[in-house]
Amino acid sequence: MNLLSSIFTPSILLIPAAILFLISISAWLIHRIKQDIDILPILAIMPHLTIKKPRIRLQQPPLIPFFSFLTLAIMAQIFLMKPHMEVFKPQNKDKKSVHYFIDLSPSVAGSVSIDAYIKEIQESMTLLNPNDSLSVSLSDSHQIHRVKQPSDIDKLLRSHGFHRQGLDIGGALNKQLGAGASINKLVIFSDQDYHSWQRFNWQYLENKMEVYFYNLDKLSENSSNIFIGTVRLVRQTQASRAEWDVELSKSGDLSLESQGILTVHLGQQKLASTNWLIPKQQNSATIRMTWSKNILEAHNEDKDKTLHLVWSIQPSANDQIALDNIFHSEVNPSPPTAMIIADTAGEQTLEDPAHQLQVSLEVSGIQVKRYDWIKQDSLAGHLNDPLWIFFVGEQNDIDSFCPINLLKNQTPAKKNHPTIWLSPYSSSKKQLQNVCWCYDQLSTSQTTKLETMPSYCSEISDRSSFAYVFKSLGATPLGGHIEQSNEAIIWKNVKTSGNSDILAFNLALRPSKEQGINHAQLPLLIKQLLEVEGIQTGNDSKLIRGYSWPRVSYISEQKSWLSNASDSKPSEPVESNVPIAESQLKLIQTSQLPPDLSKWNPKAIASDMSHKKEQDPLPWLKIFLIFLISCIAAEVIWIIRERKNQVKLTQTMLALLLGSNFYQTARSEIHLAILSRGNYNAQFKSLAKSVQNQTSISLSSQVHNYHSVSNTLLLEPLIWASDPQIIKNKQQKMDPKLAIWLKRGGMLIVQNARSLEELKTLTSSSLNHQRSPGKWLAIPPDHELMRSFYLLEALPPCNNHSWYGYQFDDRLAILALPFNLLDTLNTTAHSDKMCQGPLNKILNQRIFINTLMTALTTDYKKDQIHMKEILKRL
Amino acid sequence: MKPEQESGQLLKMHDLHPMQIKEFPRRNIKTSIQFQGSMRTSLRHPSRDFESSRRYIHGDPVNKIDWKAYARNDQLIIREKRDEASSKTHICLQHQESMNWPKSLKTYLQQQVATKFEIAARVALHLAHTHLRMGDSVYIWKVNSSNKPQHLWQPRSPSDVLSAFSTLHQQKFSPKSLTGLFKTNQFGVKKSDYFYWVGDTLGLPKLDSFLTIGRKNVLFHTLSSLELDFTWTNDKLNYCNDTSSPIEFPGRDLKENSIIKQEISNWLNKREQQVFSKKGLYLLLTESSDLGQYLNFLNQIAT
Repeated sequence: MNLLSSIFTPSILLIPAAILFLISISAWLIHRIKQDIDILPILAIMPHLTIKKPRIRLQQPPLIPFFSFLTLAIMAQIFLMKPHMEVFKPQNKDKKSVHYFIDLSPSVAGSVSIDAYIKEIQESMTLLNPNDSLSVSLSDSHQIHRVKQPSDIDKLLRSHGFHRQGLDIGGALNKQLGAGASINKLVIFSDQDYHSWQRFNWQYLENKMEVYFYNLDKLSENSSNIFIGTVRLVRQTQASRAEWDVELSKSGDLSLESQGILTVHLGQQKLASTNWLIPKQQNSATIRMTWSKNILEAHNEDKDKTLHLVWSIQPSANDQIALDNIFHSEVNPSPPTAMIIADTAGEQTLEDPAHQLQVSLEVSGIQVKRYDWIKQDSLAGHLNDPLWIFFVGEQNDIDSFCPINLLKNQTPAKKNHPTIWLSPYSSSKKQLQNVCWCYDQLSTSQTTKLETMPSYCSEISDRSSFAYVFKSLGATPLGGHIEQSNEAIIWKNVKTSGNSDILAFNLALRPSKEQGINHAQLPLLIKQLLEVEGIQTGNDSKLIRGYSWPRVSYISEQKSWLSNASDSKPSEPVESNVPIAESQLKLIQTSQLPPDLSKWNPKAIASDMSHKKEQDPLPWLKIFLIFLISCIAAEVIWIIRERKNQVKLTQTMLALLLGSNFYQTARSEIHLAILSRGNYNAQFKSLAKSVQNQTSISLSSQVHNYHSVSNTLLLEPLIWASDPQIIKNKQQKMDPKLAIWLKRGGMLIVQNARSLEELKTLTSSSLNHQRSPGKWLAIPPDHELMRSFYLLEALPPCNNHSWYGYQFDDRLAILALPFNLLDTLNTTAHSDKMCQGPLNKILNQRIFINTLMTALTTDYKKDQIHMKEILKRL
Repeated sequence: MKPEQESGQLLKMHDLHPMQIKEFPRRNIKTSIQFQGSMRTSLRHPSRDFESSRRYIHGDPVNKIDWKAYARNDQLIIREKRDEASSKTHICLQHQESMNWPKSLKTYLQQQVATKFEIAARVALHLAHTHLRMGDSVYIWKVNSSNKPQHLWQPRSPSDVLSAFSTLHQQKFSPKSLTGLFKTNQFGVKKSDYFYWVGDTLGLPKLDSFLTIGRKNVLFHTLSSLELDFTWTNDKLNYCNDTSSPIEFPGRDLKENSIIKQEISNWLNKREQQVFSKKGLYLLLTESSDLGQYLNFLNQIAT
């Protein structure tokens, strides 16, 4: 059942809806009729009243929309009243088509021989009616074959044979039959393998056809399987012999012991064979096989990658599996090793960065060999290693820490250059210089060795100068910020032909708090580094170990299924092993399977049952949709044609519509005007946010910066001066413009004002009001500043300098703070440590908000609850 | 018919009878006592014409008795004479469909409510009778839905009015009962001494032109009390006017919507102002208006 069919089930939902519709129409009619109209002559005097009830007039409807509506209504009726649930129809015997799906997957192959299989299918064919048409599809191809005689089956199955891939019956059938299959009966020949049936929702198919299952399990007598689980190359091996560990697994019945012969082939050549035994009640056994390496090396020279080791098991008992016994593996997995050259750290093992790196590499699956110093002889065996790591100390001799000679002595035939890591033990100056020296020697591939350090390397003093030098050497940073490449730990050379990848570290990769790397992160970091360097990626990995069961994808997902020309069998993957799922013989419960023809009644194949017909609502919906759209279009046309006189209305509607889209709330913002010599730009984000959260003031995070008293500054209502000096003119008096601004009603806040005398001289000359001369007063505890928003107990002093306010014109005109409040509020700036004492950020913010409130509203709480009398009571 | 009180209840307009004696006060009218007529005249010796004779009714001036006739047949006969001082009175009685309301109302009213036409007819006949008794000549015009009066009835004597009233009363003030009296006539009246308009004035946009005809213009605005107060309306019913393009109003709105009440009150004020602006007189009458109020109003007309 699909979604649409369940939604549009008319009988349940829409018949009540139709009844409701009829009831509502009739109720409305009755209501209209019952509502007798009485004549009330005086109502003639109010024809223009809007509350009048609109008269119902019969009007000729606009033709096209009405026609569309009518059609739509009729369509809806037809569609909705038509039952589209499955209807059983009397079957036409002549046209009955039966389809066989034949499973050729390994699990079937393990239990049934091809002869028995063919015989079983042919027998079932004899039960079919002569008129029935039979089609057959196999699990390894998407082709459907028309079968007329039993001999066709024989021919077909023998030509295909069993396949090694696992099977997903649902996916395979979906590809084969598709949506348009007109099949009356589907018979699936398969076993009860859990993994084949797992993703197959056969109940869905029952809406379209009868689905049967022909169980092949009855043909097989045994129910155990033995297969190769893993093959591994043993590492600690003699130089002349190859040693492999083979893990045999057994599934199913474990009550009996199993034994047999295990053989290894390389192409046609038999390498070795041995006997194996899996005891009772055990499900696995490990067998070691050895053979001379010489045979393999001969093949190594060929570089014939198509040749693989083929492992096969032959059970001695007859009741074991027939097909699931072959396993492929690569001939010579290269040993995963890396070389580290570092001084021994003695007892300080945990402090040793080389040790930490070694552990991380081993966790990443790389075997590490560590040497104390560079010695030509001992390193000969590591020339093929993909990774060389050199720890650079504070030596003066370049040969003692840099592998120049090693690289020179390499055979020219070698193609794979190792990746070289140069790492200091710590970030000391000398070590960084040595790293630079070595890097320079290796990357430039100079033939002559420089005995002394290049001058630019000796200039390196720390990591930033290291970065500077490496940039000029043409190295690229790995990691670090795009903008701040100086922070990069690792610098890599731009690889020219014939050169190795050289990675220069400017600090040792080891877990430490300073570097922000913990013990868990280091292996991940190393792994990523290995992947970036291509040492450990995907199929081209240089470090391959043994083999486990490869995950062979489901047959329906094989590439050959997707390609167009694929009449033939899908090309078998070279290393394809039987999927472990198939080998495990896990069975699905019978209740989850379709009716079993083989057990229940084989004659049901020929039974004359009726078949179901499902009606697809989708075409109806499409027609429905077309009419709906045409209705809307016609309506729009009609509106445009009939209502073109009502342009104003349309315009208004459009304007409203547009207006609603571009609606924006009006907001008023306060900008902080700061008069200072510095720049406070974009540093008040958190302050603005907290002010917005706490009050209804929306403070802009953008600050207006002024460096001197200017005309634009004097348009601001509130000026925040960073210190008293900035508001003075050359005569050490207040700027006259500022004085006028203060008289007009501005409020000035002066920070870092620690001398009352200085303030007094500032105002004495310029701010003299004859009627009410201003006064400098310490801010009293009942001042409006202490209660304009938050109730403050005291304003924090700074070094015994308290807060002063210049009361002028019955208001606070100038507020002098003894410290830099803005800086303490500023999250990024360092606060004035001299005055930090009792200050905390919350208190500072409260003082700031109160100051803003005082500046904006003066004393708006004067006549409210915070009257002196009430405050005293609190 | 007793003019004042009946069984302790104040008389209402639906009790009005033409015989409700109401003579216009004569103190300001400069006519000799023997002369009839309600109009002020400057004639010192107005001519006297024989108008009609009728039986003596109690209260008639004794000097009007035709003693010679009494001598002949032993009956008291009044010789009514008209003199030139008698005034012309035109009464326009609205007679359209809306006046027949609330008889057409389908609501289940608890009691019989007099139609607007009944009240208007009672007022018109009472006015006619009063003026005829005073010796004035009376013209009663019937106004249908059209603006202009088309039918005229000229009662010659108060007894004509009385007989018409009795006919109306018998036929329960059916509008059709008066049809026999009226004759089609063109309304060409330009001047008159008294001009009365009796009706609900609905559908009458050119009322102004009529209010300049008489030297005294009076509008008796007869409405039904049900039209002024809608508390009786039924929520479930709709109501519409009887114009050519009727508009429906839900009953609930009529009851609750103050806009409608305001609208009606505005309309009444407008009518009143319309009349006052022409120096006329205005009286709003419903079937439940106090009769005394009406009679007092007649005093205002005479002064």
